[in-house]
Amino acid sequence: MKIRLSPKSKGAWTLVEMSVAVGLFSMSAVVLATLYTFSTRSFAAMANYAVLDQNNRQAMDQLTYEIRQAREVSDYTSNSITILNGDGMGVTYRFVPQTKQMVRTDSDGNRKVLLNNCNLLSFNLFQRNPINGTFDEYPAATNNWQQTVKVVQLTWKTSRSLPGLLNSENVQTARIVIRKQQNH
Amino acid sequence: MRLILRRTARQAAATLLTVLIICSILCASVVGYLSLVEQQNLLSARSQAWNMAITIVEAGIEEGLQQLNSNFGDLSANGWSFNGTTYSRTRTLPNGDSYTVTIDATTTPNNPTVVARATVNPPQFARSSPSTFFATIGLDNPAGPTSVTRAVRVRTARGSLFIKALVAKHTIDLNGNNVMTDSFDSTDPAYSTNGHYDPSKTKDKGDVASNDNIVNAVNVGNANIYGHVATGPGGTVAVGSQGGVGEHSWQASHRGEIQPGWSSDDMNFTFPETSTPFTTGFAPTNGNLIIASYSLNSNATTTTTCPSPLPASGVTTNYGSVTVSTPPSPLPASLTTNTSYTTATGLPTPMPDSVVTNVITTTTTTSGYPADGTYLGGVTTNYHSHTISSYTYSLITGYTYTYPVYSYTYPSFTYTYSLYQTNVTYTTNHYDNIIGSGDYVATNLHGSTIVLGNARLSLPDGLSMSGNDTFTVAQGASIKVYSGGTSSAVGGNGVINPSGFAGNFVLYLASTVTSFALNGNGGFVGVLVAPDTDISLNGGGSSSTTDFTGAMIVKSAKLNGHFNVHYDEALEKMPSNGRFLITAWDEIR
Repeated sequence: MKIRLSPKSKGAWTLVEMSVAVGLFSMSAVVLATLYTFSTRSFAAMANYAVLDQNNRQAMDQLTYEIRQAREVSDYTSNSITILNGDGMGVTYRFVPQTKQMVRTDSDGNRKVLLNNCNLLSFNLFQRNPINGTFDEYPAATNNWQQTVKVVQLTWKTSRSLPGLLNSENVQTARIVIRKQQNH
Repeated sequence: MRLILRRTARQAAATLLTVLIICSILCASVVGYLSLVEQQNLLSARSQAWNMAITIVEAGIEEGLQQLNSNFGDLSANGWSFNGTTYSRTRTLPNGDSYTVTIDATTTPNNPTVVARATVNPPQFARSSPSTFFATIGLDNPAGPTSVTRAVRVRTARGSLFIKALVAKHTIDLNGNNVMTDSFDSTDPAYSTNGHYDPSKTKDKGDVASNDNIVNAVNVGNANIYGHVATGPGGTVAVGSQGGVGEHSWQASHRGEIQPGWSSDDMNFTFPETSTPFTTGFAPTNGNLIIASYSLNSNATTTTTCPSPLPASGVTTNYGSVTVSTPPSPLPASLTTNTSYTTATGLPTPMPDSVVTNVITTTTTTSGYPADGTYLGGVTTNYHSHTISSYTYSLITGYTYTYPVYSYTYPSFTYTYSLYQTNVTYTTNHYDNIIGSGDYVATNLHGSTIVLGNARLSLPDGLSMSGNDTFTVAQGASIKVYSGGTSSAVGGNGVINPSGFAGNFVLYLASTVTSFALNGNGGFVGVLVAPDTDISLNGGGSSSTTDFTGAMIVKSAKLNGHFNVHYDEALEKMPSNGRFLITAWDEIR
């Protein structure tokens, strides 16, 4: 038996064709949706991290610039430090846990938020000369630290999350040597 | 059965379009993602270059400081160029980064300024290369500089090398009893007498320090350190039950303790190198010398007139007041007239301006009526049985006179000042070694030695004094002694330095000298620079102490009782023997 399809029947939309088409479309849609979702998440995470990194870098640059040429450390707690900067101005860097900010204030009354989304900030003070036989290890400045502090170590952690997306974290650690000669 | 399906041309186009759209979305995603990554990478590279610039700047600062400390007399040495005002040098590192150091020692010779400017080339992709905009075609550098440049300016000052009483590379052992360190100032009469140490005028800067970082790097024992004590990182200080570290007033009530804040463990003293700067010179002569010694006496004097010219010691003006009965002539600028009143039975001569006459009366009763002028006031008639019996009245018995008396008070000044008198005593002594000015070389210095000028003395075989040997630095003279050999000793009558200023006698021990002893009761007024020498200071007997007046820089030190070290704070004012240190560090644009 030989069945010949008429031209009219060639244009029909058979179930098989429909199934194949739906199947292909579904696969394509899933691929596209996955690709879109992944790309969006990646873009958002990258952008989120880039913003975080840029803010951290600017804050770190200002902090190191000012502490490096400080004349002395005049006050200190584990999450704040007050220095007499190179211009003779008292400057305080302080962590405010309630607002998750690192704030710079000076004796002229200026206040500037250097970091947002800050979860942790700690300062440690060290003396000026490395421990003998070690590399880059300094003894902690404890007693009479106002006279002996020469190295300021700071660590902070910032994080920034977007709803439904991954959380970006950035941890910065720096050890800054006060370059101006201390009076001993 | 054979099914033949045909696709139309329109269906094929739709598929191609779908594929193109998907590919476009994919490409856009990938391009955007890569751009973000590239931007992040670029920022990181720029940040690294920015921070690396500080490291290279500091390399330039280091080179500038080294040039200052090594070649201050000729800053154009070692390839530095001079433009008439500043000295400069540029160095390029193997990777193309570079720094230029400039020293300005002309404007402020005592405080040279060093400026280091670093240029760092970031990786090619991170340079500020122009984007492909047609508008930038033809511009040389439309996106700004391609390198990162940072600069730092430091100001320097040359401090004194002799900043503490005793500084050692290694251990300091203050052994035995009656060991003490304190300080005075030979240039301040309040803290010295005629430039010499005076036990009643001491200060609390007899500092002791060791670079060592071991347990008991400084063993204070039962000594009294009237000053600070310092060790290297991790080093400790041991104090005996009768010892102490801190101020005089604090130690008086705190035996065996260290005053809070007077101890630290961050010492990193830079020890100098000692080598004899010359090998030939004059030989000391011998003979008799008439030595003039001077003493200064002062007499406190008080006069009513201010001395002219004013004496150098100053004048103390004493304020007082004088009261006289007649006005002074001429009248002083400030005169107070005092008025008091006097009562007398007779009238004064001459008659004062105003006189009050006082009548003296007594109540009297008489049978007859008083005569006029003999009574004061009224007369009371007394009756008896309706007849007049008597009269009562105030009988005048005499007169007194009250009149003003004037006195005059005005300020008086007296002036107290000291008149100094210099007494000169001449003595004729024989000296075995007479040293004038210039460079001298001697094999030994036995006997008596005197320095009359500003000299340097080289002793290749070492300084060895004992018995009756004595070394005198005359007033106004100074000497630097460079001692070689393997050991040195100062004994006998010690080093006599009439001026009191320890800086007038500086003893350098070469690195070959491994031991030095200061013995006997002669004492030592000077500075000992022996960074490679173990020294021992052996005091006198139990009934006396020996004084070391000045400062010591040694490898290690051991004091064996009955030895007092008095740091002369005037040594801090000797600016030319220390290294240039940074006093200000500023990043500039």
